[in-house]
Amino acid sequence: MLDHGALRALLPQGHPMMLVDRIVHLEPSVSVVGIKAISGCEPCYRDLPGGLPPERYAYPASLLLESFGQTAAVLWLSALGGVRDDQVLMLGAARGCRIIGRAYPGDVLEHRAHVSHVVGDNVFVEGESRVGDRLVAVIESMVAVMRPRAV
Amino acid sequence: MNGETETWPGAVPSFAEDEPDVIRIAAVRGLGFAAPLLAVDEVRAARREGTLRLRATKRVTASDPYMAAHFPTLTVFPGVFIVETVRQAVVLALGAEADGLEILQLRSARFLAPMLAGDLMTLEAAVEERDGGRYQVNATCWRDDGVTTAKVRLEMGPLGEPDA
Repeated sequence: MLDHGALRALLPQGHPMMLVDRIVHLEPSVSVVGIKAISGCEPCYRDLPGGLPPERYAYPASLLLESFGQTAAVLWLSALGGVRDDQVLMLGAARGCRIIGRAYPGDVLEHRAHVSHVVGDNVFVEGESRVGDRLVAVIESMVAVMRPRAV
Repeated sequence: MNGETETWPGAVPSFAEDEPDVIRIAAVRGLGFAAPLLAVDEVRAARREGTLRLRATKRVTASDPYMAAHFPTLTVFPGVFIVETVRQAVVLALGAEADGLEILQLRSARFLAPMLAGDLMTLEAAVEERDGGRYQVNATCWRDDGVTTAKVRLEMGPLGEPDA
């Protein structure tokens, strides 16, 4: 369990790119459950006019995957021991990320991620995202990598 | 854009020769769907034997929405925003055909090198139509120094979910 302040201290993303609000379950290096409330206040809705078909207001898949990835990052960070000042944590690869349904402003996403296997420094996670009982995404595999900041 | 086409690794010669019209859009508002940022500066598209090929560019810009927060001390274009670039490029290239098209699956993605503020991303994709109004998209992108930064395979189509 990590409250919002603890999460802000752990994740390198700042506002408004930090896309997890709370961690409700954490078994370090094993599994994590994160919560993200979607709001119409978020920048992705800022420039959208009203009156479009409902699906146009679906939370973008890119941000949905990022939100899952940040929840998973709590596992990565606990497994890898945090991000050093000379490193940057990046999404390294993803496979089989299926979008099953849409999430909208007002919905609360619950991301469940667990470590499937570890190869060297690479921690592979899998999991799913739900809104209540409704499945919105299934993630077969995601892996983060540490890269040096100097490119 | 002029004169740059030959230097892009993997550029398709027949594509470059045709110099198809550039599709530009000025604001996220013009996309007509929720999006974290305008993830393309311009798109060129041409059809070859049933396959739509497109080339999109995007300058990584620290003042774009969300970018100042990724990360606060170093601007890195997030991998998922490359997925967003693919989505927007396909939607813009297909035009009216793209109505109702959403990402159904990120089949695979490999993010190979970071793109920082000021870097120019060039993305080339082949878009193949499949049954049921679905499209398979294979995309590769490069930085302006020629380094391959990502390879992405997406499936797009009508989501077909009954809205609650």
